[in-house]
Amino acid sequence: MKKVIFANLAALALAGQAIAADLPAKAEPPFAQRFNWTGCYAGMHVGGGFASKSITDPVLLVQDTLIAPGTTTGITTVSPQPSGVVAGGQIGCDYEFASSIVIGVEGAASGSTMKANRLVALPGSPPDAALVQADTDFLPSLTARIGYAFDNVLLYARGGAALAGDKFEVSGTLTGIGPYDFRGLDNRFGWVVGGGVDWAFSRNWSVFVEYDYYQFGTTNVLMTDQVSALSGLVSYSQHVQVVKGGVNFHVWGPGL
Amino acid sequence: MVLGYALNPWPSASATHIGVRVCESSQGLAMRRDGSDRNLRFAVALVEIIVLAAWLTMGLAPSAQALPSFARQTGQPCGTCHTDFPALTPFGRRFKLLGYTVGGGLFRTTPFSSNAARDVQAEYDKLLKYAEPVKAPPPNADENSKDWVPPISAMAIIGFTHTQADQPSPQDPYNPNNNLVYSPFSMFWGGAITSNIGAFAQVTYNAPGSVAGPTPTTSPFLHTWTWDNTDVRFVGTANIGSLDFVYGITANNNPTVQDLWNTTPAWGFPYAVSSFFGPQAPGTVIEGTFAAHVGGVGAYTMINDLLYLEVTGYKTLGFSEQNALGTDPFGAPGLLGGVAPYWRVALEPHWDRHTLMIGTFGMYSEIHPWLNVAPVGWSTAVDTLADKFTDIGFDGQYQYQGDNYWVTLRGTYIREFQRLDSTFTTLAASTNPTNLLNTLKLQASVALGADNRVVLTGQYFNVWGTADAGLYGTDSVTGLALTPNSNGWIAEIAYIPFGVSKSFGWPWFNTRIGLQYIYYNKLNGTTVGAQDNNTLFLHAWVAF
Repeated sequence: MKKVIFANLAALALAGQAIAADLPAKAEPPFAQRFNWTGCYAGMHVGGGFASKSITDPVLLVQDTLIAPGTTTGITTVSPQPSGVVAGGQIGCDYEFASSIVIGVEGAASGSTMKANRLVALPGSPPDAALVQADTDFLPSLTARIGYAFDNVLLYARGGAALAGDKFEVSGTLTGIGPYDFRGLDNRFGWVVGGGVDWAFSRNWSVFVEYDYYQFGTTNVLMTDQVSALSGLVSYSQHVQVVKGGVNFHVWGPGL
Repeated sequence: MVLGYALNPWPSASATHIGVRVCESSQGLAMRRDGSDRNLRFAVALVEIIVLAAWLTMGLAPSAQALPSFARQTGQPCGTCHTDFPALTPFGRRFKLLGYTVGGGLFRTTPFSSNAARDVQAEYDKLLKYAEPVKAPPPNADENSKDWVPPISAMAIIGFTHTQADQPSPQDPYNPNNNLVYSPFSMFWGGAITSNIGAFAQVTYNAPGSVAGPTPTTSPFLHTWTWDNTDVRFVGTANIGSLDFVYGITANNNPTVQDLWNTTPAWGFPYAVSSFFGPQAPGTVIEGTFAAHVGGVGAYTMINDLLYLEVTGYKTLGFSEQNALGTDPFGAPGLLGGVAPYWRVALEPHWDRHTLMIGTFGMYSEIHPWLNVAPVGWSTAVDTLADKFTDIGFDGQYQYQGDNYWVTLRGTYIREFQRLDSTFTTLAASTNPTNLLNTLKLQASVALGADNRVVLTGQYFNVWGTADAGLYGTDSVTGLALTPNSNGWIAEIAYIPFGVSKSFGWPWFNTRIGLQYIYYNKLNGTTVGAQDNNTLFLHAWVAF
């Protein structure tokens, strides 16, 4: 804030000198201070999320749990592609070096409506089929970012740790047995890399667009049938791509 | 009982939801009376509270501060640090940040006073002075000549509770409804120990027969006196380049009790609740489950009076240690395995009369449940498997100081992921191996006036999560698994007669009178009977 005050004073002082010296009408261009990215910020974002999940093996889960162990032959992988809105907030801090290199750290969290389902046949109980549904409703991350500032425009890349809140459901009706509804939840840790551009359009505000790629690897989730209370495992792998835009409020020290 | 009555609406609901309601508040010494004279009792109770309030207001007219020992130390009236008790102003947050060490005389002018707050630069300069008394207390002949008084205070609450429907049996020694309670009683150490070390430490008396755990009246580990909210701090300041640091170490016994904002559970609204609630809405682990059952040590810093960072690790005290401190070990669902990490990040920009905060907090805990808490045959053994809880919270606050009024808006959301390895596998008490639990609170408050302050507060609360027949039961009509889903409203009007004055008797007394109503739209997954738990709570609080 002091720098801004000094800059304004300097600009006024230069203008005053020009008038006093009765210089020609073509005065020197006014002093313009570069935007300084050093500081902290908080803001909100909204965008789209596009996930790819591979779930193995929902057929075995249903048939071997509810019909009889060993009913299933072969391996079935179902790959729903959830997509939806991603919206949330972020808090971060940056430091800009004299070389215009900017480094920082940011914590972000998004809620999401990413959801998709697929039908898969149950060969052990024809013509029955199971509805496999996958949701991702929570997507926080803690990342470092590095960028280069072209005055009030910052090009940056980021990377760090991420978490996905996942829900899975395998439901349907087995002929001769009845309805079933296997459900499972998981908090899956992984990593994220991405990049974007941040444009400070005033002293305290900036807008940005960003692309992020999340990878969460492969893990197991325990699914429990809400009807029979029986349980079984499925494994899944996933990655998520997010494109988002947002606004940040920048501040550094008391006052604005 | 933790912090007297300053608890969240769900005081310490077990995160595993496998026990009965855990209420750590005392039900005190209410007298047993027949139901036939309820109207008379209601009238008598009202008269008693009004008389007490009048006595406090007139007989002790000069009272002033929230915790009188803080007032004696700082020379400030309660309105400097509190919009309401215990809701903090910007100055109050910095008093806590600086380890309760700020002395009298140096801060007689509220940094955010009405006139000065109009000048941002002046406000900035004053904020920088927050750290000065800690960094280098200036010599002061007058200070040296003053007598030292130990920073000890006490408080007591008298409260009358009416619920829409009578409480289920057994109620003894209480009435089915319309109970007047004269407890708890707490004593505090509140203030500086040295120029760099300060403490807020509370011990509380719960009347015999109080409800204090999953085995309310039969637990062999109920106590009358117990340690309560405790926060001991070491604080220092530093300047590195253009950065101003206030840094410190906190040792405390309740996750979030050390926090500066009233958006986190330990100091969240409502600040006083009746102990005559019916069934409680479930809460996350970080919402008081391990209050007074743990010890934690952490480091924190405030950078440029803007960015607050904290990391603290918690570990449960051993069974014997908890018992020795007056805490019922079975009041928590079990013991923590290892150290539970807690984090906090908050960004608090402030300008003119406005203060904004956006933050996040959370904790990861692995809980090994008790294997047997039965009154007979209980055991100190815990399961080798642990339930794992990941709590992630987000909060925000906006505060505006007007001429003789404060406006405060708060919001808190907590998402808890539960991996119930023990509860599902060993105890077979949950239907699902994993569950989600979410809590949301949105609050608005207006404090009108300096002295004779009236505080109007409204809060919407919502709890929602995964259906689980093992934890929440089944619907009696549909047979489907119930959810933790609960929501409703809380409205409160409080009267604080002495907000800013320093008249006769100051700074030895303080008082607050509140009338609170809690409305349940849904409780534990059903609207059926939810409103039977609607609660009217009239209370008078006095500290001295």
